[in-house]
Amino acid sequence: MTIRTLWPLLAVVAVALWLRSDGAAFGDGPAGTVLEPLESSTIGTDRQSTILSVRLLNDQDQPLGGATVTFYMLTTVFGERLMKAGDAFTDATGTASLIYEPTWVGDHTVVVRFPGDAQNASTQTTFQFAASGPVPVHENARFGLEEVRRWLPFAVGAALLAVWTTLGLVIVTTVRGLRAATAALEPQMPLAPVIEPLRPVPFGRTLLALLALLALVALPGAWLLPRQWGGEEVSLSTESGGLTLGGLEPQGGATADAPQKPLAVPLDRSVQTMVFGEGGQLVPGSADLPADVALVNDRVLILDTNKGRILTVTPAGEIVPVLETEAAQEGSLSGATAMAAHEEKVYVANSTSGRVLVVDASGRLEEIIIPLVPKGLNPLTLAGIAVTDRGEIWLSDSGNHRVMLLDRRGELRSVIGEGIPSAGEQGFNAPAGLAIDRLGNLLVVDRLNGLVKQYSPLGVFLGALGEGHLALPRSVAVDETGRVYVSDEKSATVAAFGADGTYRGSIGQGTLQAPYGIKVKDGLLYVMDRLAGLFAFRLQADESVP
Amino acid sequence: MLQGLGGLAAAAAGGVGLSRLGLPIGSRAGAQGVRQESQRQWGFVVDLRRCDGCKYCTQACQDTHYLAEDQEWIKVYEVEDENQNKYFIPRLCMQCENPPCVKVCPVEATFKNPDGVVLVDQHRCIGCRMCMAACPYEARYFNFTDSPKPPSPFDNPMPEFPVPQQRGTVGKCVLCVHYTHKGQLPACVEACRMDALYIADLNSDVMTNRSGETYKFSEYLRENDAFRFKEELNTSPRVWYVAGHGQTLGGGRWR
Amino acid sequence: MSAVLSPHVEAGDVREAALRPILRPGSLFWVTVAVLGLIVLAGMVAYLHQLRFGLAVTGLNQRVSWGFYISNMVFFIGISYGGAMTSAILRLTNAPWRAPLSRMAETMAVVALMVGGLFPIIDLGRPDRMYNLLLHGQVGSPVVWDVVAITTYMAAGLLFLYLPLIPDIAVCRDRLGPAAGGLRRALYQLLSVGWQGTSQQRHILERGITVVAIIIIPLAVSVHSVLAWLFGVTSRPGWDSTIFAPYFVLGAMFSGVATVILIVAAFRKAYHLEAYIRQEHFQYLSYILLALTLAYSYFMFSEYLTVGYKMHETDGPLLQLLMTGRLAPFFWLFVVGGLVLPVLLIAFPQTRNIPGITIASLAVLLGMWLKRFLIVVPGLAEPLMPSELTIYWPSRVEVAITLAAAAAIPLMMMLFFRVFPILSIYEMEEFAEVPAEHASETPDAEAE
Repeated sequence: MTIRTLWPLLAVVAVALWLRSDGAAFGDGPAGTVLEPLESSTIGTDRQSTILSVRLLNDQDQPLGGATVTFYMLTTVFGERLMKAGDAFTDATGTASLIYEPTWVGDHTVVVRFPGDAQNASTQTTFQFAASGPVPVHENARFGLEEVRRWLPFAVGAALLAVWTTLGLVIVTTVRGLRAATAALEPQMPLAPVIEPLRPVPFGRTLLALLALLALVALPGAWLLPRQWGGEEVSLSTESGGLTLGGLEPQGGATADAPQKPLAVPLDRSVQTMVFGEGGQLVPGSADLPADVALVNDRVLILDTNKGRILTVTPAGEIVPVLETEAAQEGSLSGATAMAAHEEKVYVANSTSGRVLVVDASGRLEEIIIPLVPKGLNPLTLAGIAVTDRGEIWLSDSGNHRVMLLDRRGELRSVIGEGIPSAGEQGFNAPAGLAIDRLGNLLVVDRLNGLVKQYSPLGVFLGALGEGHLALPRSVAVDETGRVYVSDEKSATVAAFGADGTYRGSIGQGTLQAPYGIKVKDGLLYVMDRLAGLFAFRLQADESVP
Repeated sequence: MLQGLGGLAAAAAGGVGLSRLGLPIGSRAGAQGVRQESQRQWGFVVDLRRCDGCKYCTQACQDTHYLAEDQEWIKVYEVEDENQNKYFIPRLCMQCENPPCVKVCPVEATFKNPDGVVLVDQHRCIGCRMCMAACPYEARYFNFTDSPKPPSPFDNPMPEFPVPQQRGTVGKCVLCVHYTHKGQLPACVEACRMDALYIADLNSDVMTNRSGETYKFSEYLRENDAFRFKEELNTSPRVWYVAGHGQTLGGGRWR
Repeated sequence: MSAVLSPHVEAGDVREAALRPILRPGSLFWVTVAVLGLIVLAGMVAYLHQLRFGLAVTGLNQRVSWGFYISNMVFFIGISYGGAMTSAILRLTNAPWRAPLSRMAETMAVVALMVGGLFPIIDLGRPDRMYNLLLHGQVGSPVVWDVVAITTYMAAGLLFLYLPLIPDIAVCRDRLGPAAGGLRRALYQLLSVGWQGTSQQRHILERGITVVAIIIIPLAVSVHSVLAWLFGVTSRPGWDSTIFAPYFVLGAMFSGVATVILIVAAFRKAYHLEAYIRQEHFQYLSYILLALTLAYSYFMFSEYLTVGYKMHETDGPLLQLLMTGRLAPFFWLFVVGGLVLPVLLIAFPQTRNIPGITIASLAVLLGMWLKRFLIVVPGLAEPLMPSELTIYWPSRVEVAITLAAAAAIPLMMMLFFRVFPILSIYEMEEFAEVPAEHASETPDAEAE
């Protein structure tokens, strides 16, 4: 073997040696450092300040002077958060001290961080100390004039008592006195008046008759008057001008990006679901704030939230009830806002009762599934439902910021979400609608984060879409080509995204008022608008998307 | 007198009702401002340097409490300075320590709870709106209409979580005591995408926002020259502002 | 003025005149009652509509949360001061010319107070919870002070109406009772508490009336002061003024005297009481009105001068709004029509006659209503936070209820005078130089 052939081998060995040893030996990269917590001591001022000390040493155990370290206190007021307590410089002995005034009695956990520099790696240490108090407590501001305010009510009360007593005495003594004076005279009075009596014109009966007549005519008017008679419209804010809503419109110039062809053409198939009659009241057959729509076989079903019913739309465009339930019953639909169809059955998630009801195609309540899930901080608020191919049920619990997978018996299979409002790949802030695409992936509307997040069937985060385009999204639907539609309550439109997640435009601008539940099937998009009714749009094929 | 009897009755009713739900039981602090001992004293900080006027806070609050459109418990005002630059001021209930609204309520329906938050008992409010006239910050709102929340048999409105709002009574920001007592952030703080809103506990001197920036409250106020609005009215508000656009501090109209 | 009655009139004529509404109400009585009754009923229908749909039917909004109802409350309670002024103060100063006016003034005071005292209830968002005021009343609240002061003043006002009425009820009992229906007779019998006109009874009665007359003046002052403090305890521009309580009290007396003049003029015409209520009465009242106009203008001027000289950032914009801004037409209409015009009408002898004085009073009344509105609404409309001025327009409901309140006062008075005498027979005979007709035929202990 010559040097030439050995040279790569030597190079490999050199590199291996280099990699095995500390970088510092070669002068590359920051060297390891150590932060040593030192004994903390208290200063005996009236506030019992504590001196917290650490020593910073480099990898040679030499003190590092002139470095900045930051002290943090672990607080638990709003969950575990590190509160910056202060910065300190290390002196020649590598010691940094901070005088800290504890604000609560008991154990304190201190975290000290050295951010590191070119030569020294960052490091951190944690230690505890106990504060025995006393600690400053917030004093409310004093108002002043306490002494006056204390006795003033009594003074006023006494004056009032005096007045009422005087008035009472006056009336009582006067009446009594007059009566007594008469009684003293009584025996001496002749009874017969000498003068001809005058005749008063009676008016009582006429007055009563007149009042009764007027009342009979006028008072029913109070019930017949429509709501609008009093005021033209409910006066909301009458402040004019000067206030703009910044930042809630979809950014990126939706109009500039919109394709030349409209995304969807509204069909003449819209059905008015909330019908108001005279006087602004709902007519008896009308729905009341229906929240969702579902497509089962060839039927279009509407979830009538406030009345607890499921309705269907006949071919003639009329609304006919299919299932009616009473409120406050176990199988009540009252308050339910999400519905999903699966194998000729409809699954309704009732957010107020926390139940999932299974209704068959003929409108019979088949089953009530009680989610057997751990209690969250808030009551179970089921805002979205989707059913997988295997019949398992995804539910979004917006009050507890989580999405759960249940089996048919209601037992928990898996959970995504942290239980508190959060963001990121595994966190939600009020998750709402759910949908399952043709690959079985779950789409979750992360309502207050303005995103739609996608997860694999096992709960692995796949991606998010809608950043900056969704103001207050509610429901999501996916068509066979993978395009995603999201109903947005704030902008009163349905936003459309391509299968790659890019924003394509909005549907229903100007027509929709409060789009809530949406479903897509066979190239048709159904939008349940809580106020304006059920809308249907024919989706145009998008040639630009593969 | 009657006040004593009424106060007893109220305390009894309030205690029973709230203890069932595990919420901090508040007996009325009353207009005389008797302060009860409590572990927390809530405060709020708004960093005006960061607010961009998006009004997500308003929307989150309205969503959380099912409020009608005209009820903006946290309201973002738009102001123009001398150079025609716009900046934004979110205003919520100042949770004053000397609240003018509590002083003028004829039935003691509004009160300061032991945590220092001013609440409204909508079961007692008679809707006279004297408190709205007295509030110098325009922070109280009247329910002209019913709450948009669909009625549910599980509704249980209470001063700490006044949902649904009762028509004909007054409502206002409750500093989300229903969240903070569990260590959760208020809806607006959670929603503020600019991280401009901070919730603070004056007793443990901690303030934090939704992205976890946590500071020592008293130090932060000092270092950033935080101020309170209308300081001269002696309301002693619990909401501090960090100025950032050269506006005049405190006093007079908000400019 | 020693002789109230003119020399051509006999004593017996006083009674006939005082009882004229009862004996000869006239053909227009029922027409007027029907019209006024319809207006009042329209107001009731409007209120029922409001009870059904809540305060959303009014023009109120989140900034201007007090509107017509509160300004009407101040206005109507204010005009009840006419009773306190003419009756109580003139009584205590022993002015004999008050005699023919006192009954109408005292009645108007009670009726206007009842109507005005309804407005805070109409304004409530939850009137079904009114009992909370009793159960949980908070002593530091101006609203509670308001409730207490109004009820106390109402009690005193009723007493002040009733006591001088006792001798008149005795007249009714004796002259009308025998030929009247059972209810009326029983009423007179009960309420006259055995009055026979003896000097001992007169003494007892006079003592009672004097005590009430003394008490009712500070009570009246307290009522309107408390109403003023409803606004004065807030930190709003236009309301945060130390002068508010005396300002309101004076304004109430001012509008009250004007109302007395109008009411007296109306009833005088309707029941032909020209013989008893003559030009002198109107002139004396107009002197009082003139004095009060000047006093009110002085208070207003003082208020605006101290604000306008400094033009603080808080108060200045409101003053501008009133004097040169959006509300300027209304403000100057009030000043010219409600203050300057009456002064001119009364100052010049050519116009100081019954028609002139009546027009001046009407101008004052409408002007003072406008002024109450200009106190309440701009104080709320002017923003405390950086936003625009909030516009407030009253809705049909509020207008209907206001008109109903205005109609209810003459209506109730008309119905009252169908039962009780419209003139105070007792007082008029007291001051007449003509001996009174004997209430009974019993010789008194002393000769008259």
